[in-house]
Amino acid sequence: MPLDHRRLRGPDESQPPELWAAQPRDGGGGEAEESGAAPRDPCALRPLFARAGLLSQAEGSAYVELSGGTKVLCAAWGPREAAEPGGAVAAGRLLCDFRRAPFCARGARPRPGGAAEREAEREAAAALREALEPAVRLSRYPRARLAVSALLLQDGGSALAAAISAASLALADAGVEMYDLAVGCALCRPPRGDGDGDGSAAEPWLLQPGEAEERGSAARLTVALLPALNQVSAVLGGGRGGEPEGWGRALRLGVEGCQRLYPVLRHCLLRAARRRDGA
Amino acid sequence: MVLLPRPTPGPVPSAGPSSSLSRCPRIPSPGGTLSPLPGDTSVLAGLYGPAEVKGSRESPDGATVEVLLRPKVGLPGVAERSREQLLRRTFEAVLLGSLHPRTSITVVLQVLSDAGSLLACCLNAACMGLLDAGLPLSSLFCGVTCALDPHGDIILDPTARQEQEAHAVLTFAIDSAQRKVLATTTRGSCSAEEMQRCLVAAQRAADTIFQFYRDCVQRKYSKS
Amino acid sequence: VGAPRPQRSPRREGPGLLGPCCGAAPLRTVEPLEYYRRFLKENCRPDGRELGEFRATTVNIGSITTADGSALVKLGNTTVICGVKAELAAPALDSANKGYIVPNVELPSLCSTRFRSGPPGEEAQAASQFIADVIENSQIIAKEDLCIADGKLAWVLYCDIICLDYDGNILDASTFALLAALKNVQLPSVTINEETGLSEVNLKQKNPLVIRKHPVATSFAIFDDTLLIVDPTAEEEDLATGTVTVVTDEDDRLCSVHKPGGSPLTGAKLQDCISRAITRHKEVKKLIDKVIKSIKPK
Repeated sequence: MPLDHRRLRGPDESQPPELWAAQPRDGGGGEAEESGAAPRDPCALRPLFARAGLLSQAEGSAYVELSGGTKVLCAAWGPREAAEPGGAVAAGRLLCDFRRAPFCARGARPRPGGAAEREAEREAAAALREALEPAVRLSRYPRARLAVSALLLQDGGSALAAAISAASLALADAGVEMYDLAVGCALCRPPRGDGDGDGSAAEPWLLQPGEAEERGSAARLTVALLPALNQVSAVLGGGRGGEPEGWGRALRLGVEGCQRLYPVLRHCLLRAARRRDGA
Repeated sequence: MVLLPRPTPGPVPSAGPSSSLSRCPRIPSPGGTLSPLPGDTSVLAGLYGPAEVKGSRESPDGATVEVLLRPKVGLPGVAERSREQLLRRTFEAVLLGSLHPRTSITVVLQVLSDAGSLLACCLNAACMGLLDAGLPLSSLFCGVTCALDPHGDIILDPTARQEQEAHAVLTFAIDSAQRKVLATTTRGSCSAEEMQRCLVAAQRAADTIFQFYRDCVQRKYSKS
Repeated sequence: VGAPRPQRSPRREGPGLLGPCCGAAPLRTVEPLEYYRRFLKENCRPDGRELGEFRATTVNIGSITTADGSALVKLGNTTVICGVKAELAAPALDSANKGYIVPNVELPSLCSTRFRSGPPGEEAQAASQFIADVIENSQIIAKEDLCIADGKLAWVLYCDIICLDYDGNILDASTFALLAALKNVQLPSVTINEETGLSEVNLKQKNPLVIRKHPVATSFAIFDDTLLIVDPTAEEEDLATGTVTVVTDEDDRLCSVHKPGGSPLTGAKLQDCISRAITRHKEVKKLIDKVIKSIKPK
């Protein structure tokens, strides 16, 4: 692996202290207790806090926090001249950037700039773009580019969903013309219990899973919805097994979750607009 | 040494190394040996420009200065990048860049051997390079490193070993016009009073270095 | 080069005595330096501050629970977050009784349009090196304290400093964030099992780090080669002819005097910077003590 000359490097190898923890650390122990102690309502949404227009250097910005510790900050910049002339291609381009803070997750610190980290960030950026593009009126910005940067400060589960919501808030805050806000909502399905057989009805999909739930899940899904138009802009996910109807149910559940989040985001935008007018 | 023509203002399209390489030892000892002895710190400076500049870096108000610091072994890392920034901003302060708008001036510094006081040596080498290239400057500058040994005495131009033993090492870039401080960077900790003492010592040492510059240039011109 | 950014919140204009500045918004865009000079002549700045006045400084400690210690520092609009993650590693061969502190400053594209996404650029790298120098010079933490077993096991503290909003004076904000985050770090206790020779970590029992020194950075911008203004914004940094950063500790010793080029200064001016940095240190120290105390009772 080529060495990174642009960052200060520590020792070649280091392990997180969890690896050496005295108690058995097969991952199941602690979490099983947690989930066993409080079987949560699968349809419960984590309280969402959103604030728009808080960065001074960005044209539009938003911060979204899910209670339980997912924190995402987004900045957006309105139309700029495209770097490479698109020629006859009329529509503008939406450039997405997704960064994960090195301290955002529990356990080992990922090496920033490492190949695995770069790949994960690129994948998330592509997903973000997929979810946002249908919401932005790109045809109104010919030969221009719009930029969105997301920074995940803390990953407490459902990070991509929070990033989608934050990014669309930032775009709206930047005054970019949009059809609708894209609202993201994540779901996951815990691994099947022992008595599975045909019992598809027994598979509960959990709405907005926490980090521990997400890690132990068998399947994950992130739905992005344009609530006013009632159109799904992106369905991203995958996992092991599951009946087609199960996935269908999950999609409906996710769409419903997005609908329930929508008023919070709208309210946040309104507040930001009012603050700006008042100032 | 070959005397190179004064660079003309404006871009020089096919710029080879349009100016010279100048070799400069550390602060000359009273005995005044010039060739770098083994165990000395030596840095080779090459200056290129004013030459054509890439579109994105072009500045309509002045020359774009670029500094490349090459360590003796390996690739430049974060420490080199930080020194490059210091060197670049020092050059920009003395270089009359507005006479060469929309051009690039590149200074390449190759460390040949490091036996302490490296940054000061880089500054001196670069200044000699600028001088040799005949670029218009508002003043000259020189680098001086002072080390404070555990007793609080000042050691000018310390060796690597002295640097390690010292509780503080301060490097100053001093300009020739008013002996003011163009740049400083410090290692270790010291009191404000100690720093001022070092500064005075550095300013005094600067006179010697500027005299040395003068001698070098004189010798060069009298030869050709 | 885009259109001038719309001014979000009309800044607090200086006192009414600035006759020529009334309706000077176009001047700010066209001749920003001239615009600034008019303010500086009256000893104030466009944002209403005096030349020696700092922006409102706030610090929020421990907001990132996935890190072993974290702090968010705001200096006016400038926002910087520092998260510390502790890992275990074997000490380096040449310093068997020392741990590691690895600071890195990131200036992501999110914080300002002047930075591109991708690996750190020159400014981020220079800032990383500055923070590393401050850690080394001030001995903020004795690296020997991070050693668990000589030559076998030591802590590595990865201090990742990320700028969220870049409005100048990143070095002051980063240094403060680093200090506050380190004060917030709780390391699990580690014991070496004598029989097996393996280390055991007790995640339940946590100990704070021993902070030996409290370095605080104070930055100045030099205007028109002579005028010193404190805590510059990004706009002021761009217009200035140089910057100086002075780092002092609680014993009024200088941990760093960093002046990367720019306008030359006399020794007297540097002394002026140092005295002001010492005053600033006391204010910042008071603030951090207050915040730490407010967290402790939990």
